[in-house]
Amino acid sequence: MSVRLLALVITCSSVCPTLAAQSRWDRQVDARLTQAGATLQGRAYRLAGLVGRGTLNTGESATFSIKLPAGAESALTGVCDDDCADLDLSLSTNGYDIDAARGGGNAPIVRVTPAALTTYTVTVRMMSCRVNPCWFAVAAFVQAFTAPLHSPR
Amino acid sequence: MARQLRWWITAPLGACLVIAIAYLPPRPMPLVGQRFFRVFQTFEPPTPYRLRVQELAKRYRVTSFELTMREYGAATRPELERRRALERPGPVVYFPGPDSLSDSARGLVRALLDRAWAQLGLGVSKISVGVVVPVVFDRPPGGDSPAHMPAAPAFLLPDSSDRTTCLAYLPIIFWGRPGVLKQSRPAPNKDLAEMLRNGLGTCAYFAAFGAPGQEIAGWLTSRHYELAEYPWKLRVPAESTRGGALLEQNKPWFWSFVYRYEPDAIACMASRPEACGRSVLRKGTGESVPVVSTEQNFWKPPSPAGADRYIADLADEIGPERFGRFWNSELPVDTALATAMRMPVGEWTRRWQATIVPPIRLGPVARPSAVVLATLLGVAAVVLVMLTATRRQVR
Repeated sequence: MSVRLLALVITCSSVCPTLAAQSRWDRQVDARLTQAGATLQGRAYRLAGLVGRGTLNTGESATFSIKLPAGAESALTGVCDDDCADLDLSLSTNGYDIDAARGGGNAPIVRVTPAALTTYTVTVRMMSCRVNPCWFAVAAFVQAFTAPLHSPR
Repeated sequence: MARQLRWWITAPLGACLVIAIAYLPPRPMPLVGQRFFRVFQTFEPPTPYRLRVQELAKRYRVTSFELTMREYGAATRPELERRRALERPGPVVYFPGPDSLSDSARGLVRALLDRAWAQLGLGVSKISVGVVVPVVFDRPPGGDSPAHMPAAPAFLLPDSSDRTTCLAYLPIIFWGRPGVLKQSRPAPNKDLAEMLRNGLGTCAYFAAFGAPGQEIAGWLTSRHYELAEYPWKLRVPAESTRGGALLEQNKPWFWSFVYRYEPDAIACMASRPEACGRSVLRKGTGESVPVVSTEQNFWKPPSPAGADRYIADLADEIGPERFGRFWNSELPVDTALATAMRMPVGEWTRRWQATIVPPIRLGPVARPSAVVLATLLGVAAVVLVMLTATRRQVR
């Protein structure tokens, strides 16, 4: 339990800068990001960084670029405030969709395992927001290597 | 044809023509009653060159206003963000221009706006509102440049460059008259409070319900938000609002003003639901600029009559919950409105219109007094002819 709490604190300290100066909706997004981080850390992912954050009205989208390292599985998760019911996330490179999470609620996750260091385009689309605009954030997590246990000596 | 017979044919035809000119639409009121307004109607229409210059000046004014408002927005941003972070409700008030207003007057304006915010049931909102209050004691500065600031409330709505701020420009102009804000210790004043409350206008909707859904936003933007210039809980009667000021049926200018509206708006005043629906649902030709001005063009008022309070009256009737669903709806405008109203848009609008302007009668209808007079004249003519015919009878 204490390890989990520590993980939460570490995640939050890297993701939530200056909590005191944030709005209620920023704090909601941070709380959801912390929650997603805790879930993914339980599956051997570690936070690689915040891809982007901002506000979107229903039907609007935003794109960000991210470089992901080779060999390790990466997971990108989108979160949004309490007024948001549906957020879509897609990951593409060179115009091709690699993975997408659409119509799956307000915490979409996409995964990819790049063969080489690759720059990806992350597109986040606000599908349903009860009171526009809705605050959102996208964070990247990279799976920690578990190779030493399985690799041949 | 006998000369006398020709006269008998020509004279009634001429009389009919005179009566038709006097009574048939578009002037259901005798011409005599419109003499004052005819002076203005005889002006020559503007030339294409003049229209082009006017259009350019209008664009220049809008751009200049937007730039100035963005500067005010930058000045108010720190306070807006601080309030949002501290969860302090209420608008941020900014007084531009020379520092001629006393601290108590500024305090009074802030207090009245805070009270208005609370009366509208607004709390900490996703879209913060800044209110720019220039107080001019004499005449607003003019000049040769078309870039003067508006003399009526105007708004800089949230857009893609700043989604979370709505700025209201709320000028208080005294035109040299004594005003409450001139006093060293001004007391709260009902008119000032009402003016400030109504001045929150379009921004109040953004604060309460967020930015509208795409369909609704497209419709309102194309009409420059002319349907949502007043906030809800509007307590003033229709004739006190900007659009309703000239729509009193007992005033001599009523008919002259009515015919400045679009045909659908006029038909709506005559209780025709289809026309009411078309008048409300029509898309405007407005450019997609985030600037909204409430300055009235009395020569071409927005349709339907009293349009500036349409959304306010709708929100009052259907309540905030249903209104919020309409405002954020992604359905086509007519469907979203009909769902919110729970009846066809035309029918609701017809009923609403009757509260703004008592229904008018359209068509070639003569007034009862005119009918009586015409009948009496006719009878007199017949009697005269009978008497003449009796005298000239050859026995």
